[in-house]
This record gives sequence, C-alpha cells and structure tokens, in this order.
Amino acid sequence: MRIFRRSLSLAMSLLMMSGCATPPPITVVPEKPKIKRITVQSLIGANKADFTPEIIAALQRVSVAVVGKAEATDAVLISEVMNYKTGRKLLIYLGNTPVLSKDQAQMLSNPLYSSGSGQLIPQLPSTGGPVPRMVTENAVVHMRMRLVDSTGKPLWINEYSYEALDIAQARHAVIVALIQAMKSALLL
Amino acid sequence: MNALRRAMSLKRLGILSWLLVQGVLGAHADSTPAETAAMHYHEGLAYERLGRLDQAYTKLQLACVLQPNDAKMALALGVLALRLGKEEVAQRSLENSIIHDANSIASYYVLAMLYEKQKAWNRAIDSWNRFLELNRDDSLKIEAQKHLRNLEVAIP
Repeated sequence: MRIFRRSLSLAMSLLMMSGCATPPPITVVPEKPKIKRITVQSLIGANKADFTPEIIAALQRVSVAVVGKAEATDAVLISEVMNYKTGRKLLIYLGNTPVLSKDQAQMLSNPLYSSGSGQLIPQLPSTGGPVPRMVTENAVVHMRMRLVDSTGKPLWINEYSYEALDIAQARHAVIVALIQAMKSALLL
Repeated sequence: MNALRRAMSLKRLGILSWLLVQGVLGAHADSTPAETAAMHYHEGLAYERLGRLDQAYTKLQLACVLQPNDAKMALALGVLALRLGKEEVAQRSLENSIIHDANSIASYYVLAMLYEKQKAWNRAIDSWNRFLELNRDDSLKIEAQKHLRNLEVAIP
C-alpha cells in the first residue's frame, strides 16, 4: 500500500511538472520559393539591347535556367537602369593642398574630391592664384533588379551601383553583384 | 582694300607668333631644367583645362622627362594618359608618383581603378586600403569601401 502511494505521488508530481513546463519554441522557417526557371524581361532605361545577354549569362553561371516568355516559368526578372554615365568627373588638386575641415586646417597631398561633397574645401594659395588641378573621369552604372512570380508578387528586390574606368566593366560588376545577391537571398 | 587689310593682319599675326616662340625659347634657354619642367607642367595643365588633351600630354611628358622625381607631375601625366587610353604610361607614371610621394591620395584612387581593370585584385585592394587611410571625402570613402567588399568576392 505504501509503495502504491509513493508511486502515485511520483506520477502526480511528474504530471504536474510536465504541465507547468514551458513548451519548446516553434521555429517558423520561411518558405523559400523554389525557383529554377527565370524569364528575363527586357530593360527599362539606357542601352537596353546591351544588357540582356549579360544578365542571362550571369544567371546561367549560378545554374538558373533562363526560359523564354512563352515557356512555363517560376519567376520574371525585371531590371531597371538608374544611372549609366561614362564621364563622371572627379577633381584632383595637385601638390600639397591646405584644406579646411570642420574643426581644423589640414595639409593633404593631392586630394581628390567628388562633385557634390562639400565637407572639405581646398583653400586658394595666399598669392590669389588658382590651385593647380586636373580632372579624372570614370564610368558609373546603377541598376535595380526585381524578381516577381507569375502572379506579379514580388519575391526579391535589390539595387547596386559601381564605378570603373570603362562602362562595360562597371556594368559587368553591377550585374554579377546583383545576381549573386539574388542567389544568396533566395538560395537558388 | 580688304585683301590688303587681311595681309596686314596676317603679317601682324606672324610677327606676334614669332615673338611668342622666341620668348618661350629664350625663356627655356635661360632657365634651369626644373624651371623648364615647371613651365611645361603648367602649360600642360592649361591645355588640359582647354580640353586639348594631346597637347597637354606632350607638355606633361616633357615635364616628367626633365623632372623624373616630381610626384605631382607624374600624377598629372598618369591621369591624362589614362584619359587618352594609354594604360601602360598611366600605370608607370602613377606608380612613380606614389614612389616619390607615399601620401598622394589621388594616385592611389586612380591606380586602384586601373588595377581593377587589369584584374590585379591584390594590388587593387592594397591601393583602396591606402586610399581609405588618407582620404577625407565622405562619398569617396563609401565608394572605396564598396570596392573593397566587391573585390573580396571577386578574388577567386
């Protein structure tokens, strides 16, 4: 009888403990869209014809099948060119140039300035003559890519810009970076 | 009458050009190589501002021959050579520029871009890092950081 009481109390306490314990957290794994076949839509923006083959090649490098509009597809890739410029100018001040920062004057050797950034201003020499300077030029490409499913629901969006000595190099860097970002975001 | 006037003005122009040439030659003859180099350098910069890049290139080449250890002349020639598509001259001049001035911010920027084009990834990374250490322009700082991130992915 005593043994029976003991085992009963043990069973009761076990039941109570299991009832009071916090339930394990339920981890919700977001469902990744299964994308194996993508249709590439023609570009909006400058030089439309030049971009599409490069995007297709970049997609194929990450093992995504690119299909035509008429075929069954998992998603549509829409690209947009935000900036496509060859003559991006930067000013180079030659020689040791005194510049004014927010709190102190500094001497910089051949400083370089992007247009529009006005934080540091090269001072004119005390003679009043112009500071010797030159212009360097490069290209910049800024693109946005969107991936939507067949119903038009957005699956992924990202944008990127890159500067290079020539426009083809900048464009290639942007396309590769965006496709890589899409690949890692959607685990293609 | 008009022909006579034109002839007179042409003659005047001829005399003026002759005087100018003599003045420049005379000045060059009396000056030291450093002074002559400085003269070519400033003429080169003036041509560059006028958009006469070929003449600017000739002048800057002359300046660099006379003053091979001048970092700012080498930088100017390197930048101009790059704009004219002469990549080898550009690389040589820009590298010469940082040899003689290890703090030449612009040289590191342009070299980093050039190395990226040549797919010399490690050299590009070194140049961007040095540029980041020296640069004071906020938007160019962001640009350099972005290039460094991109290069980390690009290296096979």
